[in-house]
Amino acid sequence: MQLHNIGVNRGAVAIVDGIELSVRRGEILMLLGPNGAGKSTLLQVMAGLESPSRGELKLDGEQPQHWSRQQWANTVSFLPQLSALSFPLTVAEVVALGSLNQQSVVHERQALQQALQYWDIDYLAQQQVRWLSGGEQQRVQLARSWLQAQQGQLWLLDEPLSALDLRHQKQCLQLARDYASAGKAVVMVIHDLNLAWQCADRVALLCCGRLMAQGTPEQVLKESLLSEVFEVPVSTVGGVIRWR
Amino acid sequence: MLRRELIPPLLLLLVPLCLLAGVFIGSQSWSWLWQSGTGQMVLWQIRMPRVLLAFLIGAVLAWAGVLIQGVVRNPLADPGLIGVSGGAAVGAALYLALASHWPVALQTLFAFSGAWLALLLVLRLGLSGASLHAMSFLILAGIAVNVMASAVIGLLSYLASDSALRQITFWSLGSLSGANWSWVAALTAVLLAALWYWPKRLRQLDALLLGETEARSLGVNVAQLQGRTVVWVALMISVAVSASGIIGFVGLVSPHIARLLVGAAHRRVLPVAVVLGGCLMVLADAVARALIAPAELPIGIVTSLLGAPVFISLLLREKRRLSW
Repeated sequence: MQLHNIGVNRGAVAIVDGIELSVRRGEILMLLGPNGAGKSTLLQVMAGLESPSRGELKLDGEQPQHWSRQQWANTVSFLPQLSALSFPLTVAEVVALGSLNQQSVVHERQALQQALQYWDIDYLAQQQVRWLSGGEQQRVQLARSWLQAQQGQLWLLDEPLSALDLRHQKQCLQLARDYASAGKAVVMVIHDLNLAWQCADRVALLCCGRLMAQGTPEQVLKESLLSEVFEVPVSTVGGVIRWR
Repeated sequence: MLRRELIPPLLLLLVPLCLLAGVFIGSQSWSWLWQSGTGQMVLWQIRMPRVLLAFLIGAVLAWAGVLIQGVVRNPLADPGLIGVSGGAAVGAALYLALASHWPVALQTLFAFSGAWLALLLVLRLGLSGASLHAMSFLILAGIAVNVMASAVIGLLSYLASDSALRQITFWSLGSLSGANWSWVAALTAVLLAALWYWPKRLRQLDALLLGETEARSLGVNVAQLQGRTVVWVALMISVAVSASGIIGFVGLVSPHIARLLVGAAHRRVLPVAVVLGGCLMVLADAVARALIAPAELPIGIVTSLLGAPVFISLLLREKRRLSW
């Protein structure tokens, strides 16, 4: 996927502007930046949920601007930040919605079982999602979007790790790596700079709606740039990013 | 606790029982209904259509309740929220207060037009908002229209003669005394149309429960689904209200009970809620006719009197289940 000079306005305010970015097959791209930098908006543009005010979006050379919602859903799977569920849907029911557009029932059932196992929620399958803990709910939503991503090419995740414990963070990043290794691509918004350093193929640093830098973690995550963008003195001594 | 798989067959068993009870409870002994010529006439021209209409209206109200609660993602939403029933009430009250010397059939036309004018107004107000918040705008617009409607009805009641006032009151609390076979046919048609339209779209409603962004990213055209659902709710409510006046609580409580019984997935909630709504109405109507026979209570009072305790007991059960 390629983004050329993408800009999004809300009213007179530009949320993001002049973004030049591409996502390649086989890679994990992580979006970094302070709160309100426009990371989520950019992700929504890539999911086709927000139409850009300026610029051009290309997916495998095609222009997806006029795609139907179904075409989008079959190509790109997007997981927004966790939102509350007020209805008593069960874990299995929510995860199964990931294959909303799929035709074959048999295949659907197998894929559902797989999703429940991979995300370590099969023992919760018949529980109501709204009574689970935050981390468990996050895994349910991750499993749903993972299931949807299986039929697509691009998997977009907005702060997938925020509620997860160490073990499930590792599991999530491993599943993202497997997905990318299958010749597809993952883009995620993440706040943990050390995890980005460790796990991203490339990172993009946003600030105030502008793309400050993109490249490998070593190229982008520099003391001076991070200190400037996050407005706090940062040290990267010994490959560990921390504030001073 | 009842096993989930047993609930659908038990409900199906409940339907004929309710219908039979509805037919034979009333101001006359049932041997008279069965044997005498007048009794037969009462049975076929009055009692039967009335019981069937009660079932159909309950079913349609419950269906509308499931749809509106799903589409606004709030289990406490009532189909009356979008202002349609208020509009219908204004139409009917206008007829009763000012135009009752015209043929009675016009009351239906007044109610129906009132309902759709209210919907147009609500949509006009509601859909002018940003698409993301369209549903909350819509509900606020519905509330405004309902307030306006009750003010107009108040004004009309003030102006109306004593007998018209009594009729307005009766109508705004709901009554099945106007039941006939044409209404049964009309409600059946609505229900059949809904049966044709909705089953293949129920999973889209499930997806909408996750949130609008989530549903869109799952491939659901959310704006279209919301718009069509609102129009369906308006259609169902306007027909039901025109047939029987405003009947509260059934549309709110049936989906809720259904959800407590079988969970939230629409393919299970909808049939259970619809059957429950129908049965609740038939029983409520039987009670309305039997309690102070040969006079009858407005059925809306009975549905609320019957429905509220059921609702409260279910809430208490749920609360207990959560507290251990």
